[in-house]
Amino acid sequence: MHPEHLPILLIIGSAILAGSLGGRLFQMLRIPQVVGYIAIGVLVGKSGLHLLGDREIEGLLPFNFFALGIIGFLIGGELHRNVFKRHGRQLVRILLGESLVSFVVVGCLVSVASYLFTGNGPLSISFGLILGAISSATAPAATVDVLWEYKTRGMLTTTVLAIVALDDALALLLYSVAASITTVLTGEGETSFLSGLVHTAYELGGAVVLGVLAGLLLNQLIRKTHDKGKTLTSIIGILALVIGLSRLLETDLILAAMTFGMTLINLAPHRSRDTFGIIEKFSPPIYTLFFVFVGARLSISGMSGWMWTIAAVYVVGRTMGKLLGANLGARWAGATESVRKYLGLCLFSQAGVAIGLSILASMRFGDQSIGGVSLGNAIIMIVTATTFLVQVIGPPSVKYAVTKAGERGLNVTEEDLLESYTVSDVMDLKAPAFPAQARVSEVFRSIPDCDSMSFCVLDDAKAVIGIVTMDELKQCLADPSMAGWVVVFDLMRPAPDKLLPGDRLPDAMRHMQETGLSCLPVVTDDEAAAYVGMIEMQAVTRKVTQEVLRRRGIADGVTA
Amino acid sequence: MMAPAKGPLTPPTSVVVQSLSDVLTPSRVCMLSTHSKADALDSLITVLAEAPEVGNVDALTQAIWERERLMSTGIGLGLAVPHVRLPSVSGVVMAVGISDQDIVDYESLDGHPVRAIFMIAARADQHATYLRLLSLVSAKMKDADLRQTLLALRDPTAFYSLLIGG
Repeated sequence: MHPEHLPILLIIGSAILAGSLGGRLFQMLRIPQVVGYIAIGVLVGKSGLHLLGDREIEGLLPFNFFALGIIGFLIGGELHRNVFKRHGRQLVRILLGESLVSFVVVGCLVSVASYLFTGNGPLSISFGLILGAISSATAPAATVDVLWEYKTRGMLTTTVLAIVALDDALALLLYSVAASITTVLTGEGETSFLSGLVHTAYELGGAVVLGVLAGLLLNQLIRKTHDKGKTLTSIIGILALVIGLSRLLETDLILAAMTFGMTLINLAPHRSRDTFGIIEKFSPPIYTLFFVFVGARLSISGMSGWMWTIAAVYVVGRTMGKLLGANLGARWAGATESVRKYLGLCLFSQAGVAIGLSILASMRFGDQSIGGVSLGNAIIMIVTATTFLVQVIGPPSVKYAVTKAGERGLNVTEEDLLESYTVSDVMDLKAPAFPAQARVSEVFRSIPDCDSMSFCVLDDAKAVIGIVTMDELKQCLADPSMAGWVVVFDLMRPAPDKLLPGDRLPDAMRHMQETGLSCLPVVTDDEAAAYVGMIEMQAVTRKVTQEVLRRRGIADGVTA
Repeated sequence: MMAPAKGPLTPPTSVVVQSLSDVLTPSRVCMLSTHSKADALDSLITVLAEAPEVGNVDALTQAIWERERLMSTGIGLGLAVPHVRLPSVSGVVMAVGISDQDIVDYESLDGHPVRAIFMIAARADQHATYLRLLSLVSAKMKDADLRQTLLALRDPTAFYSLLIGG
């Protein structure tokens, strides 16, 4: 290994590990884990212990772009054309509502507050316009991370995914307009209004073209392979290309990655499901790293009193704007009640685009001075400080909203459900048990009244001594008269193991698979070990599948 | 609570019993002369224990009586089929006892005395083979003519020949 690689790998390893511990700690406190990642970042970063400095943060910038690319790609994967066909108009109205209202509210409030401090009208309006435009952007990463953590599904989830993905484009457009007006108002800069718009059109259009081309290419590459390793290699390769080209060509990175995912899901909806699944499984450490660095980068030292006031006005204005705008947009769009009531709460996060735009603004208006500070620096510091705040309040708000909307836990897989269940959740309490001397004819009589395919055999003390399955029972069908004189004791197999109601279901299922058992008795967790019910592998699989379909049905019912 | 599995519930490889001659030899057909169920079963256990498949006579005796305690194996029509599965038995085997006297205390299902006892022992995991053998015996003895003829015989060799051939 080259010696200079070691520190970077050490930083990555430590950041992922520490971030993940922070995430778990916050999860235990019932706070979304993303807040934990960011908190660890703040602790070790520029506002904390300074273990991560500018050099390290800048050196790991490519990982941030990669994480944003993955987030964009996965969001694109959620945007099948049916979503737009069904909800397209609704999404556009909500998008316009939440973005424009935030822009207007923040723009007005910041302009007024700034004027009170500076007495400079044009500069205050410029300040308001720029911060207003920045406020309209919503960070997808933290929001989406919460949606995935809580396995949400439904109309609110669909709307949030679409809105957080699309409002960056609108934010860029608004910024472009605001920057052009600001140039006119302050008499600074060389960029005209028209050229600003042309540049934004290029940034957005270029991203879309790049994403579509990448989607077409990946679709061709994975068309004839079922090898997950090769598919993963192709995706990561093309995603890295999209991110790299997007940086090189200065197009919008998230939009390019999102269009990439969107193109793929629309070209090959069934085949690409696995593709998105592979990336989802691969992404957690990258997210962790991304958010740790988001936290580490936040620096709010040097902010004066008036800047804190503007920051407070910005946060209040943006929060009001998002809540009001999302509600108005949802009403205008005729959206469901859950979207009207809770969408605004899901739109508080701001990060990459907001900070990116603030850096652009600082470069463009670096020469202007406001309240004794460079306008550019003021914008950067206010956006950073407010990012810190909204990144802390944003994820819990999303959690609250999806919980209240009833969408939590509706996007589960069979695997997720198994992990969350204990034996008592799925055991068959109605599976009859028979005394050892019961005749087989008695068992036959009880079969029509129960779902069970296997039965426990009990001794005189009611302890489970064996199991009789259909395999044994069917042997008696050759000579029906046998059922009158063969007893269950004659047919039973000894019960090798017994389960307790509190045993974890995945452990029980794994045990059954490893030992070739198709069923196991469940007994009480005391000395008596009395019979409680039965677990049958086939019945568990059926129950879990039904529950997944039920939850998806609820979510899709909300969606419909 | 989950202890290591002592044995899987998946069906083990079973020996297919095509004919009673697969499990019964002429030497394991014997004449009994008793009214008592206990005497008859003990005699038959001694005969069956001579089969090389039976590894432990005490275990066989205990299992036969344990099974009788659960429910009588007198299945009616003058027949009894005591049957057990045991880890100490290496393969399915059978012994038959014909009594020239009515065994009145057998508590058969139809309340009639027993005259012929078909004792079966199998390995613990030979479920299918064991049940097929029970079915085979039951089906064969349902033939009223054959049953009447067999129960009237007093010669073990003739009984064996007719049972196997019949």
